[in-house]
Amino acid sequence: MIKIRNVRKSFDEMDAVENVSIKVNKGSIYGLLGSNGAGKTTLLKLLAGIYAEDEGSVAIAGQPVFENPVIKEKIFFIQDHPYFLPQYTVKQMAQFYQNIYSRWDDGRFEELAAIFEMDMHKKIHRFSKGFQRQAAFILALSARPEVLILDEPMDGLDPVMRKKVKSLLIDEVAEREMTILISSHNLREVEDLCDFIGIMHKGRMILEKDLDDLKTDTHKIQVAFKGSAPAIFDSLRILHKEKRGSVILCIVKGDAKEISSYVEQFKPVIFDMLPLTLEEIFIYEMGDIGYAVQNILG
Amino acid sequence: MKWGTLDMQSRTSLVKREILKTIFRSVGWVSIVYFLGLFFAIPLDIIMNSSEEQRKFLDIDNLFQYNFQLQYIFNISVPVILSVFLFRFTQVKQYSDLMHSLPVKRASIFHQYALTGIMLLILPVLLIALIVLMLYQPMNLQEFYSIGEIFNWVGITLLLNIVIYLAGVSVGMLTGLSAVQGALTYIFLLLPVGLIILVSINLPFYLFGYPDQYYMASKFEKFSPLIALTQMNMRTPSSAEAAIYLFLILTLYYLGLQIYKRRRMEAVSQALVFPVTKPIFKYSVTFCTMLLGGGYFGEMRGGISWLIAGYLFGALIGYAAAEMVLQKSWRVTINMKGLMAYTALMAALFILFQFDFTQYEKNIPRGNEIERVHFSESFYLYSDIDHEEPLYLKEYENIDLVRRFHETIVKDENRLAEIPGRDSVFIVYELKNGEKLVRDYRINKKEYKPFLKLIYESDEYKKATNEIYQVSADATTKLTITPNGPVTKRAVITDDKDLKEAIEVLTEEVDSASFEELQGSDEPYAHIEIFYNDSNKAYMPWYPSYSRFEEWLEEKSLLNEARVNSNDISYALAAKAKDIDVNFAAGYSYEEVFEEMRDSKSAVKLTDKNQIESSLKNSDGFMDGDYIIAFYFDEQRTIDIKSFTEKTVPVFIKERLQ
Repeated sequence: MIKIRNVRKSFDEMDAVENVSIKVNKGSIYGLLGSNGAGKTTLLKLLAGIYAEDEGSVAIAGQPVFENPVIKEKIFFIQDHPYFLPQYTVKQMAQFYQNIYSRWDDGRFEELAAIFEMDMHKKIHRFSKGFQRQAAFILALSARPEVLILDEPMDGLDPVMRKKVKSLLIDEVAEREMTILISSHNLREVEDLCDFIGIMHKGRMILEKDLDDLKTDTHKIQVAFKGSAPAIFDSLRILHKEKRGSVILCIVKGDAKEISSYVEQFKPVIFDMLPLTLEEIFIYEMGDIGYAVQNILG
Repeated sequence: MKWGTLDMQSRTSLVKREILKTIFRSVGWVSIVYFLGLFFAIPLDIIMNSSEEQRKFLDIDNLFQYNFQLQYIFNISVPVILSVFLFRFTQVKQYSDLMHSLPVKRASIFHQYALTGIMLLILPVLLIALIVLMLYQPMNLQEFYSIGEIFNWVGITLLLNIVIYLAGVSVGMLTGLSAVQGALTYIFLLLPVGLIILVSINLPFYLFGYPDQYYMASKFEKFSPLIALTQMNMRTPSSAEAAIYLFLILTLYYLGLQIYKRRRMEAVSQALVFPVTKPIFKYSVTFCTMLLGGGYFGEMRGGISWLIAGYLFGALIGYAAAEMVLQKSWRVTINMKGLMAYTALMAALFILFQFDFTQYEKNIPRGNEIERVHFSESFYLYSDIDHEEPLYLKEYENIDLVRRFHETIVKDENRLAEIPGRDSVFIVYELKNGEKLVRDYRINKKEYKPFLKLIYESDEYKKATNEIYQVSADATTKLTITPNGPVTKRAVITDDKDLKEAIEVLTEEVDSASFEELQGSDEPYAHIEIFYNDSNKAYMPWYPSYSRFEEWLEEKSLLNEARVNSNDISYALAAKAKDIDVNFAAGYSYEEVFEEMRDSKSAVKLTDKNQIESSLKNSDGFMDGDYIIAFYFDEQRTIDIKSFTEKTVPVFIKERLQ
């Protein structure tokens, strides 16, 4: 659905985004992670057709985005600080978008406004930050985009509202295969939402991962043997290993069943296979890219 | 279903209803304020001044003349304000992101905004015109102007407003700050005129003889709509001008569109959006302020070191100011490399001009190339004489004299450039090939007396400069001689025979007058006006040296009426200038000086008619001599104060003041 290839964008001779390529499949939720100034927002604005790329290509459904209304009609971009036309009410904003986006669904708008208990006739700039963000979500989803681009969307939302928004987004993806690109500087904020993540640092994409793979692929095991430990570890893909008394704790990559049947052969006294949080996976897997990752783990 | 299809159509159409709505919501007020302003200025004025009594005093022949200043302020501010607020979405980051994430092409956004803006300018003007049209008959406005004037007003107002508005739009596309947009728009609109002035005040320092006044007065106000607007109550622009404005409108619109399409949205909130424009802006500002600084210090005539200091000072200020705007901070880092390159270029230019690389200074046309030449002591004698043709010399001999004079001045360049004289020489050669060569020099006339004497005493020059030669004695009906002084008497000649004689004598006087006499260093006795051909009037001064005329007046017993004499004066007071306690430098009135003299013991009183007569003849018109004399005129109880030098003071005064 989304294909960004070798994109470069510089501001005042400084590269904000450098040789970045990503691919997002239809119906998936892609999390773009990175600390402040990593180039996330620039990449999103390139994708939203606000900026023109200096090099490379930005395409959605095989067509370039910049100055292409046909494609841009299928995209909706919510800025990190949602912005609305000056002095507009929610209702007026809705009318505005209805006129601009041909796929606008008024029924959906009424429905969402009811769910969020939105006051339609109040000027949006008088709303609190959280309400403004909700208004932005309602408007965005009512435009029925195929691609929804969210820049730091969870900022300023309380936990209850976050949950509400997340489930709404997941429903939308499940229901009509909407594709979402979401940026965040905090992994925890989006780990339960995304199925794919990319980590940016200083304008470059340093890592791209399928989260489902990552989770099923990495395991934490605790084993203990009578006497000294056999040399079982040579044939396992070990990311990390430490010893606490007689208990050996290690992070292993590979298929869960294969690993456990392999370890069982050596008759361990203790053998536990524990689930890993995403945070742990990152710490163990990419210790060398340290800084960038540490930051996004917040 | 029917509705659905209609809806679809409006969605795919180029004009988005909601975009127009948002434009009206954000800048509609500008249009309304403009309408109200114009309503106050014109229709309300018409209604308020509708009584017969008020109409008598109305002097109006076009719509601009109603509260012109108010109209002017609106006309130069509304279009710029409109362009700034209308394109606010290009100057605020989030607003820009919102607008540019919409599925609308940039060209389409531009057309919708820019054209709606034009409409918002047109509407109030048309409405006002409509109101005036409705008032035209009931208010009897045809007594003042024709209906056409209303349309004229609409046309001129709209043309100029739209030019200014689109200049604002185009400039706005280059910058990412609304304040800079407003400021740059006015600078842009004034730039053509500003540059002409700046260059004109600087070139005389390099080009010896460069006539700055001539170029500065050459109708350059048309080059700036802001300045052209100041004259719209007085003149209607020609159709050529209108065509140029129309062309400007189209060009600026196209330019704005093209720049907007190429604009990088990430540069919002930067003073200049396009990197290439930054050095251009920086060095243009530096150049202009440099010229201003040099011009200012140069005009003070402090010599070349002050001139250079002025340039340095101006350039530094301009450079720093430009950097402050670009870096949006007053603590700026200076790019030394760029500044050095600029300095080197300017120094090279400066040196080139010292060598007169254009051969401007030495360029004097050959005698056979010249059709005619204007020669006078001031540019204003060439330009400002109420639409009369200025003086031209056509005789080869005189043209050659002027040329040789010119050559001599050019030879003396080094001396004259160092210490410019007090007198001005203004020369315009009109060449046979239609070109003009204009020069202006500052010299001391005394030093060039031989040339000036030959030119001024030539028949052609005299005929061209003295109105008396245009008078035909047969058609003359009246000649008046008004004495130069605070008296009401005057001599009037109406008799045909006397008129003929008078004109004959006066013509002879001028014919034989020498350069020195014509220079008028002596105060004239009287001013002579000759009425001829029903409505024509010739003027000439009566200089003391015209003694034959004096004799003639004596013969006709007109002398007493023709000039101030001792009969008009009851007494005079004389004193040495240094004995009078008046601070001349701080300003004074005749009354003060007179009272001071009356009370002073060192002043003497003259009552003898002969002594007064002699004092009158010998004194000079300015209070700058060694002896001061105050005459008391009985008739109107007024005072006139003159002076003598050590040489001209009559013996009877000198003796009494010993």
